[in-house]
Amino acid sequence: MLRWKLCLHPLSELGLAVLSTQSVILGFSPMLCAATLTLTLLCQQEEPPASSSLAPPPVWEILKEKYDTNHDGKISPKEHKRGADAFANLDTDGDGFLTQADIEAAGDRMKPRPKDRKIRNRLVLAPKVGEVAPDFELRLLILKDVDVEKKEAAKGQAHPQALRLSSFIGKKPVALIFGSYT
Amino acid sequence: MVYISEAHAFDGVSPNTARNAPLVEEPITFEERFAVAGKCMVSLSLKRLPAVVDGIDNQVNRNYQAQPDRMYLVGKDGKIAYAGKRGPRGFKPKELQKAIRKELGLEVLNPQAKVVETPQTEQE
Repeated sequence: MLRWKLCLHPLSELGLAVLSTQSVILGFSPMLCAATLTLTLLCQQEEPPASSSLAPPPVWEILKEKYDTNHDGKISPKEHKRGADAFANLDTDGDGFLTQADIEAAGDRMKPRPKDRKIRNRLVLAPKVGEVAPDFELRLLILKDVDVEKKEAAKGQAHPQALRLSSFIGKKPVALIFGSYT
Repeated sequence: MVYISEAHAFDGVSPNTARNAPLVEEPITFEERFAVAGKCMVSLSLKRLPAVVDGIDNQVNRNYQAQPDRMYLVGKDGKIAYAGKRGPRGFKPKELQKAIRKELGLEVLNPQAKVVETPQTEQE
């Protein structure tokens, strides 16, 4: 369960924050030197809410509306089209179709299924302190109004579409916080 | 922020469909992940934090063994200055905070120091 509180002074040039399963309070405090800012983090572990036995989650409604194109009350792999793994994860009774019963049988589970070996590849070791950080160039998420973007583009202030980690070498440290919405 | 594969997609290996939990399918295209990342940042009032989105091949996630969440600090020299352990247990913002302050040559803050909230204002 995610929970954030953000306290923001003038934006730090340090990188970012992301969190996923914990709540984090971020604080930026301007220092004496305008070029140096500090990041204050407090973290509160938040336990996931107790599952509700009164109101079933609307997962089936989401799936039905999106994939049950022939409106027969069940979703076939051809209708789902999101890969065999995702289908199998949802097909609780393993009958080859997704139904409301599958979703209700699953409940509010958070028990991990067999670990996602495609990502948690133990053959790939996490980088250690002192090692060169694996470089990457990823697309930047820009959340601005279209009008603002157009104005900035007209002034020649268009933001780069991608960010390369190594572009910060010799300039500033970068905090990398990996996570997701869920 | 480096937005990566979902920790608890409802069609994933460790789903969370509890009340109030965001219900997200694991994106199967980069555009889907990009859209979910945007929704996340807006929903959690994080629009002002710079964020990048991992490719759908999860290569950066894999290179940093980041799933489901993890923190690092890369120093100005391009080397790892702090490597947090894998979350959720290893996800410790106080450690990152300490590492950042050390990297910037600042003294470590009093752990009891209170955080002052300020209203978010858009900067043009």
